[in-house]
Amino acid sequence: MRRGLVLAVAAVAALALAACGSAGAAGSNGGSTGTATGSEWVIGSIIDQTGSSSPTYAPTANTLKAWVSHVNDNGGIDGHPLRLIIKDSASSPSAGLQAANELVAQKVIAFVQGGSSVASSFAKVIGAAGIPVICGAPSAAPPYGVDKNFYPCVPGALAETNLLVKTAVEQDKRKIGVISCVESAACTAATKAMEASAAKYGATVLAQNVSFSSPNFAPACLSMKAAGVQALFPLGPPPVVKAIVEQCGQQDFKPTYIANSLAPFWLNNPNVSGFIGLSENFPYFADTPVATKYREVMQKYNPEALAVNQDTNGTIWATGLLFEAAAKAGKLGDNPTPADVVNGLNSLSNETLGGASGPLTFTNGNRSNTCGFVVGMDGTKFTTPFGTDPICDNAA
Amino acid sequence: MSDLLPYIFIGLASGSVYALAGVGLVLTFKTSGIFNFAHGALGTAAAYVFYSLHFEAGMPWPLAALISVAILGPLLGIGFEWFGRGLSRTSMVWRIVATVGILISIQGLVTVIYGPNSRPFEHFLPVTTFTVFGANVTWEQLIIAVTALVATFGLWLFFRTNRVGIAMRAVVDDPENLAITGTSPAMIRRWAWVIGCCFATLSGLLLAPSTSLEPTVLTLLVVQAFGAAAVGGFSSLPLTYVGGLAIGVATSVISMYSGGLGSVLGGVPASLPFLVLFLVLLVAPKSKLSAKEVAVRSRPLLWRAPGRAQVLLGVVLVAVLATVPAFVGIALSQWTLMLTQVILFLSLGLLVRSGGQVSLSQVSFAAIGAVAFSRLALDAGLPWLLALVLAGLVCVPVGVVLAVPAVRRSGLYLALATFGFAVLLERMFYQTDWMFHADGSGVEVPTPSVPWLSTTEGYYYLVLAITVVIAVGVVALTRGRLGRLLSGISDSPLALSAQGTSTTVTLVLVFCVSAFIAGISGALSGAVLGTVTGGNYAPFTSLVIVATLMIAAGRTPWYAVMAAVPLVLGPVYIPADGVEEYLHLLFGVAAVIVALRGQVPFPGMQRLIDRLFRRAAAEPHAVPAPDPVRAVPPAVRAVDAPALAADAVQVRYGGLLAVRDVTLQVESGLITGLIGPNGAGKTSMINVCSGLVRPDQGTLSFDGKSLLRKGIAARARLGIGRSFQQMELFESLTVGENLALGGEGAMAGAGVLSQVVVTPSERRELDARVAEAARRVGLRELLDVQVSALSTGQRRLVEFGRCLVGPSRTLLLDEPSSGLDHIETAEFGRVLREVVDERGIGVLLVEHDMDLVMSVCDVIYVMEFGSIIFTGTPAEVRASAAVRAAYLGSEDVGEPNHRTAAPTKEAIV
Repeated sequence: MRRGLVLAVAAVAALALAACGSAGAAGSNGGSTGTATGSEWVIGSIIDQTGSSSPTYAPTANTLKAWVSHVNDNGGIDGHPLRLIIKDSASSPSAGLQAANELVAQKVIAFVQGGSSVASSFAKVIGAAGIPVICGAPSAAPPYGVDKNFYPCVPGALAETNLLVKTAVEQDKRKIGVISCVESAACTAATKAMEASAAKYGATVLAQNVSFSSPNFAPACLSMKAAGVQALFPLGPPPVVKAIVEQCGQQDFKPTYIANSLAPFWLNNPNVSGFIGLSENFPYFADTPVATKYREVMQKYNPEALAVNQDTNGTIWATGLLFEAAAKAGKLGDNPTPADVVNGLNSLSNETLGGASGPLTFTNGNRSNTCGFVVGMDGTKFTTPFGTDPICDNAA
Repeated sequence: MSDLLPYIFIGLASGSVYALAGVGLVLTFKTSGIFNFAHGALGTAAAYVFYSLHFEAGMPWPLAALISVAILGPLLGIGFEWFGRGLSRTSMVWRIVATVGILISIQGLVTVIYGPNSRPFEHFLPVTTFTVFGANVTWEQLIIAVTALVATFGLWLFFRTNRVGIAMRAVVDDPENLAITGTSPAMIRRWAWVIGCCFATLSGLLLAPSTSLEPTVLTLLVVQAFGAAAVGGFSSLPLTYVGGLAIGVATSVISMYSGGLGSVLGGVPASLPFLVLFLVLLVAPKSKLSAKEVAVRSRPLLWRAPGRAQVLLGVVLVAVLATVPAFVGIALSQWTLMLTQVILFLSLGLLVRSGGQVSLSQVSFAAIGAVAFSRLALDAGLPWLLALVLAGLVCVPVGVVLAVPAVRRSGLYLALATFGFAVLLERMFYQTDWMFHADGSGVEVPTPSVPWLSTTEGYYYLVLAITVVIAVGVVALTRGRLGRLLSGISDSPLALSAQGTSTTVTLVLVFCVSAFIAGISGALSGAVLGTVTGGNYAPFTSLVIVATLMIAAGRTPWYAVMAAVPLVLGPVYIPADGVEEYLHLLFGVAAVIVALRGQVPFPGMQRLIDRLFRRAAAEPHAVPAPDPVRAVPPAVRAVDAPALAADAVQVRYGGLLAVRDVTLQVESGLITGLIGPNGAGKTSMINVCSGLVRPDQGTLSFDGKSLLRKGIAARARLGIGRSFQQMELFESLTVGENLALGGEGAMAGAGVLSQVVVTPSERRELDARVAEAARRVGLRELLDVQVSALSTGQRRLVEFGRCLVGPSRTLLLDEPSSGLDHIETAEFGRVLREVVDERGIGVLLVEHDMDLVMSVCDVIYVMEFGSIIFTGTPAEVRASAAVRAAYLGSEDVGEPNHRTAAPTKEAIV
């Protein structure tokens, strides 16, 4: 009996050792340092590289590393190279807390965030250390917008839904349906925001709960169809959204779809008769200088970013740009402190990051951002029906 | 109505999914007695195998499907049959833990091999649609529905017409009898597992295109089939099928009317399968959901370190933990979290390890505690410590609710009910303003406002202090009366009731205490994080916690430390990618191994500790020499009324009249025999007298007062003790502990305080009674031996001795000499006579040993086919030609050393 247990432990340990990697430890990427001559700036990032949220957020690590490599290859920021330390929050609050403690101990000057679903678990520790948290994903929901130490570069949940609803109303789609996953707080939050936005713009929202693990979303589709819903906003992980669209199409229900994520399955989809999308940051597909630059850099350092989770990766790029802007505004020099970064961030007013975000103003303790980029679709590709400038919602 | 039709047809399509999964689940449960929590994980495994073969390796889908179902399914079935054989004689707790362990292992393995990424699983069956009453149904959905229907009908027919199928029904009821017919029970079970696993793999394959391929979604989908199984009473395949369809239709139709998001009712459609599961388990009649009890192979007593060693270990451990802030640096918050999880494990251990009650929702109590604490401390502004205690108390009523299935159901159904509750809480309440807020912001959980205590170090010491207090409290409970009662419930709730304990009170009490402690754990851990959301308290975590708890070595409170340390600190100090998944895999595998083979012993270390710390004399069981003065005083004799009187009692089991207008009296100071052939109704009569069976007609009184409204425990407290035809001992306890519970059961009674507190005088009285009883039945030398190690005859004596310890004024003994040899039987008869003469108690003796009956009984009732056919003294019974011809054969009865067999039907004219 003891031998059996020992064998089992040995087998699992062997598996673990085989997979032993560096991402959970002080994973870092600095790329080459080009012609940077100043002192190194150490920045940190907590990312769900493993665990249940990793399919969505793990790729952001490579995007962040690509940004750092690009910066370093071009002489750093004001001559200062960056050293990025990534810690794995493993989609787990306690792992996120540990990751934050480790990065605080390593004296990072800022958290230039990738994607983590457990930001609320490390907010307290990082706040106590006075280290600012710069954007990342998801950043439309608390603690962003609530915690003064968190600096979003995307519109808040209510601003997003205001923009979407406003656009829908302008297209005469006043009856909006929301099919929302019951397991995720983000889904519920977005639905509540939709209801509030609908009330502001004279639309009505019909909301239905579904489960990730439901075998059939058709009843929700039938309800929406019977209610005369004109625009449908499915909320959930991409595979769930895709299944909802497919099954609604099977019920001959092909409304205009509202989406806050620009996944490839929207394109050339026969079940979609119209599309109102929102890109939290610059539309990654647009022919704007910032988007073109982003695509060039990713093509060089991280081509996968152009194939999956494109809009999330775009937010990470904007995150990097925000740090750059803060560093320059704060005139960071040799051996800066987190307080220097905070000063730089707090001095930003109407900063658009070269077109990567809506105007960001963090003076006077403001942490809200009400501007985003409305996206349409012509069937085969995404479009920018209102141009490539951000649209701001002043009602949020 | 026409508006409903599309929903109904859509609902039938999705309900077929639940039906298909549920039927396979019920099949294996019916035939093996093992509820396979990993049923869904098998489907997940099959879906991944198909994915690898078809989508990655390019194999044609029919061949890939054949391999995934027709080859993988049987292989898994054979493996499960072997596994099930190993579990067949284990308790329900271990069976649940083992299959939960498999579930965790398979999910962990799939995650390790394939990663947590969701993979697109394209449809391989046609998805073109056709219209039925306004609803568009795909051919894929139709195929699934037809498959479920054909499979269910085929299985039903198979059970009724095919020899193997009939044998599958028989193997549940009596495998030994089946073996006598020449059919191998092992082979039959193997067939059942193969069919069941094929259903599971088929379910996974057919369902994967509807969702997406990732480690947990498919497992959870099949878990929703538990609701369908509940409708079928976990036994009827057709009803399970119908239940699945009903849940699918109801979910579909309800989506027309459900409440808005962020409201509780808004969560109903997504939660319906679990709502059905929970409600069925809560309210279904007991007869509909009785799980067949099987003889359990007892595990050897866990070694317990001497008290001094444990105290020393405790002091050393606390001292080491007190120095932790000095050397762990930035990981101090994790150590604080570890301590909060020690508290959580202690709360769960009370239920599972002490009481044998498997709860799969402990994390949910932590969630409630965290939320309640936030509201009380921040919104209501109460002082921190007061808010903490009140937060624990908020969890108590919820614990009461969950105690209901514990009281009414066996261990499996309690586990299912608690799991259903956990999922319901997540889906209906987490994302509402009742708990973590509809906007997903979560709740803020504060540390104390006292400056030093709000620092990381200060808070660590505060949590350490609270952990020590709770640990000491839990140890006191488990080493005290409540702990003994919980052990009794874990081994035999029936026997404990028969000693006078209200097991309802015990279960409610332990659930309340457990919920209180878990709530405090949630509040304390929430304060470490600062802000918590529903994602911190996922239902799946409760499964991992149960598995980890059961593999942890040691008794209370050490298992809590052994469980919490690797679970919380493992990911901190093991720098590997995905270490949590590997740990889950390890815990799952370990749970299976420990369920099959028991805990790992460390005999060398145990001997060393015993040598150093165990006192040579008196430890661990110091029973004083019997003091005749303190021995149980004689029962008060009822002078006029018989002690126990039954009048015109009738008992019917379905269409069978088992007891027909029986009238008898059991008088104080007399031994009343009740004899008759097998099936005469003797045990039914004893069960009526003791309260186990409610008579359909007739009256029953004790000392002139009616007993009909009193349950078994209340009757025991009044003075009616009994033994059982199928012995009901507390198998995991020693002889001494069994005897003690005979008296302590009544002392505990139905009072909350009396079930926890033992007064010194009670302790002395109990020790004296135990010593006296042990002396009488000749078990003094065996007091420290675990009863499961005794011979049948010795075990009978323990059961009889337990009756003597209790305050019984009337004893109902059901074949107490079964398993005793001649000498032991004679001695038993002598002791019985002695006790009756000394104490003046009444005895109703059911026996087949005529020598014993004739030698000790004062009056004998003779039963045949449920009726009394003769009453008289032994001499009169011996002389009655009718009785002799009917029951005692044609030879003389009662001659010395002439044992008369129980009469066969042929002997009755």
